[in-house]
Amino acid sequence: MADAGRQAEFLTAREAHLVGCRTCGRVWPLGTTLCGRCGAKVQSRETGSLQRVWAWLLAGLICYIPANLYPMLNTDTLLEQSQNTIIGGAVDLLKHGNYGIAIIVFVASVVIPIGKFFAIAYLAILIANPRRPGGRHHLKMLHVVEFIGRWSMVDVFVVAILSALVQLGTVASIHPGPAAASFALSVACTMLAAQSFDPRMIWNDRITATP
Amino acid sequence: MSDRPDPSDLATGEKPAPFWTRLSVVWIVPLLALIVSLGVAWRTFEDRGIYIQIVFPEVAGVELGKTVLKFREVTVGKVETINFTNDLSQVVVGVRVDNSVAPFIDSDAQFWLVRPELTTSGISRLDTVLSGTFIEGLWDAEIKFPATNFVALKQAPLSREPGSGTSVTLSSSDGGSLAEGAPVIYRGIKVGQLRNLRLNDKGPGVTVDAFIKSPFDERLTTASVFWDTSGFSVSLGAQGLKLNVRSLASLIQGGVEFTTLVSGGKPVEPAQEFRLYDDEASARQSVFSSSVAMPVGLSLLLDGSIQNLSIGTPVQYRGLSVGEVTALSIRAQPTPGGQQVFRQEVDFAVNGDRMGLPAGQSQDDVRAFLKEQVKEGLRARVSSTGILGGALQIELIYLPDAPPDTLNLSTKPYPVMPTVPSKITDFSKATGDVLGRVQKLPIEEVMQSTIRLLDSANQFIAKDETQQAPEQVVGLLGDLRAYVGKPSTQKVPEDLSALLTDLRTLVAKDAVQQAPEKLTKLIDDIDAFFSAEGTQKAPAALTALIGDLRDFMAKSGTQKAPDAVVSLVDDLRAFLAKDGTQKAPEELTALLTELRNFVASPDLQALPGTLRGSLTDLQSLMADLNKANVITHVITAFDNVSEAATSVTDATSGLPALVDAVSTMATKVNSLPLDAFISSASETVDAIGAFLRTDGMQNLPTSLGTALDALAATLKDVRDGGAVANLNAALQSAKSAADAVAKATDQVPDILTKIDDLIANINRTVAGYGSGSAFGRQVQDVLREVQRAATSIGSLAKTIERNPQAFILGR
Repeated sequence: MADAGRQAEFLTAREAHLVGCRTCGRVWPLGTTLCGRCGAKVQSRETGSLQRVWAWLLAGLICYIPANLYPMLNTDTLLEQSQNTIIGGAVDLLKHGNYGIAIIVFVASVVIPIGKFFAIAYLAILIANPRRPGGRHHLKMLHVVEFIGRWSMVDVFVVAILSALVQLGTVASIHPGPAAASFALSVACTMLAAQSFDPRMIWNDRITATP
Repeated sequence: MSDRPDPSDLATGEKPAPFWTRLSVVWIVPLLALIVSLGVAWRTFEDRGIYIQIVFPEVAGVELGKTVLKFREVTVGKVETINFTNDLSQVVVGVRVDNSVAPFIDSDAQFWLVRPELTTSGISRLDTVLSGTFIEGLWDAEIKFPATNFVALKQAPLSREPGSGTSVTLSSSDGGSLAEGAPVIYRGIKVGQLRNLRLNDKGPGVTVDAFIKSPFDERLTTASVFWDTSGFSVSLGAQGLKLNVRSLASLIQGGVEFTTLVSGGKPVEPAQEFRLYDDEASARQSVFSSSVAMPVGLSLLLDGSIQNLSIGTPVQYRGLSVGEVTALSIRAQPTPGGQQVFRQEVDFAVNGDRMGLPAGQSQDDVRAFLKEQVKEGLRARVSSTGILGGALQIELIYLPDAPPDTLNLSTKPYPVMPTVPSKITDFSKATGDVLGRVQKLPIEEVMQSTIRLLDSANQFIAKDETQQAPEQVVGLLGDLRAYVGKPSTQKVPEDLSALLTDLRTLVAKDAVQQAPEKLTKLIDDIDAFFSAEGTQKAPAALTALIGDLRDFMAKSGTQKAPDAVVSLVDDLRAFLAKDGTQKAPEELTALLTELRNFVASPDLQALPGTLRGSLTDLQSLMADLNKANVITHVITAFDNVSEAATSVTDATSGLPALVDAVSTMATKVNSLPLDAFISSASETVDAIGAFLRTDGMQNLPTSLGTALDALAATLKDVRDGGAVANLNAALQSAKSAADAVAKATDQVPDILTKIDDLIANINRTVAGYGSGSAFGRQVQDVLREVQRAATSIGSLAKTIERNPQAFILGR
């Protein structure tokens, strides 16, 4: 095993029969259930973590469907009333030659959420599989997903800011569509899904791999 | 057994908890999300509404996904699809209708496109400029047969709601002054509007729908008349200047007004047809005001081309207008010779009610009536009317002696009414004729004769004797004045007039054209007389007769005759020298004095005044003479003279014979025992002398004197008697005639006064622009309209201020 050598380089807390408090960082011997310092619950591996990941991921996915089908923005201008979905808006921008903004919108609203879905699902499947190549890059992946997840809210913020700013009465006004809420829910759900991960589980294989 | 491997140590542990106990609570979240999403999806699907299809001829402004369907200005649907019909001639618009109204869209539903309309009455649907065209639908609350396919209306229906008004059809010859949306006015109130201005399907002209709102449509009956109130009219009459402006809107876009003149009309049926008159006056005079009676069409074929006939020319029957001309055209008719003859065809329509038929007669009844009347001599003719005869009318008159004719009811398009030659008095033409005749008069010759006469008169007047005459004339005139002043004298002109009348009637007998012929004939006759042989021979016979006479004179007895004559003359002189005879001149002088007295009667003074009257009479008499074809009578006279000459000619043919006879007689006389005759003649003369010397003869001058006395007495009688009185009466009447003329002249100032009044009226009108006058009122009306418009604009501005969105988006 290519990783085996590298894995051998460090010792996990569990292997050392220790458990760390994720709240205050104090290390306790394995079996401790409550942190003596901060009173938080201490678990070596959070049970049900994967379940929660899947649940949140599923909720995010479900929310993501109406977020793409319903209009994101209701734009009332003097002459017309238009409703744009996420993809429609990006396509409109593209048509008008605003490639940069179109790419930003597309990446923020489509690529990142979908990428997150896949990344989280991938990680969740990996972790569930006891014989998997371990490690570090999975952790990195998780960190990236956690970091990027919040930026997906850009869309929602844009909608919120536009709705607040562009209220010029009859000339132009923008109202958030139903998609905005569901998109925000979707992003929130995926963020929760990413957070539900117990990163320590990435190292679980070592338990089973090394008897 | 031993090689039986020992069972390995099974990894044992506690039984895992059932998986639902290990399920995280978080699973509720996706479950909820799923439920909510599904719920939303289901609702979206459920709220989609029904899908209907509407066929439009064109859909300018309709956009997929944007154009909405509105019902009572509320959006109830949206265009989902736009397709073409199979033949690509029309557009099928698919509309998704909200569930809230979908059940009510049944087969009665109407759809049309709403676009901005810019008309003179204002801009309507301005909101559609911004919001875009939309489809408007109308349906009622009753649910009948559901339908999903509809054909759109071309225009918005006039009545949105049943019972909201009545729609009638107006037909006019010209739609130039009408416009879509123009108001329908009843007694000055806008009660509806015009819609669907279009060409008439059935005939010439245009048709427009007039929608009269409820409850004003109750005023509309079959006896209503409509007229065009477009623009304004200015009339200058005796009442002053009148400006008629119904409303500002109608000034710009035209309008239609109606009123119900006759009671007894029935309520109108939907889409009942009415005629639209050009103005109020013609509408009110309309013979077809009651549309109950259908006018009956007839035609006239006129040989001559008659100008001034126009559509609307009245048809008169027994002095009443019973119809009018509806069309003018030319019709070619083949003659028996195979050629075509073109005649003017005049179509006209008459109203049976107006002709005295009981109301409610059908067209066939009226035609049958007309046919019967034509049999009895009813004919049509064109005649002139009006002061100058410029306006024409068609007259239906009874001419019982007209050649029999019938009305063929089967002729197309209309039965042709038999005509008689038209009676058109063209005033200007008549005047031209008179002037032409005046021009032909030999005025120059008359002038020359007059000049010559004046010259002669001059010469005459220049004579000494004439110079002295005036004195005498003055005296005579004084007498004459007195004479003429007598009433009896005044009667004379009347008699004279009567006499002239008689003369005129006497003279009025034959034709003018024969005059030269007759004259020629007379001259010919004279010529013939002179050229006759007998006449030629006459001089010779005369010469012979003179020779005979000379012989006779040479006889001795004849020579003695003068002596006898001389003695006779002597006797006569003696007779004259008698006292009685000498007295005769004195008597004569007395007679003349009487005459003077007679003439010197005071009545004569009225003469100059009355003379003028007489002259007037004379003038009228001359006019009469002019009328009475005096020349004809002169010619008749010529004729008679000619006849006489002919007789003379006939008589003179015997002249030579007569001369011969005379000649013979002279010869015989020559041969007579003339001596004896002369002596007897002498004796006779002696006897005469003796006779003159007798007493009776001496008394003769005395008798003569007595006779003259009687004459003087007669003259006196004349003076005292009625003759002068009569003359006076005649002059009086002449004077009254002159008075009449004077009175007529008096009316000239009257006319001037009236013109003055008129100008004063105009002045007053102009001065009264401010108030009171019709013009002022109308201007006030206009201003009021303007004010109202301004108020509306003000309120509109206020509305915009309050709610700009409403203005722009029409919400």
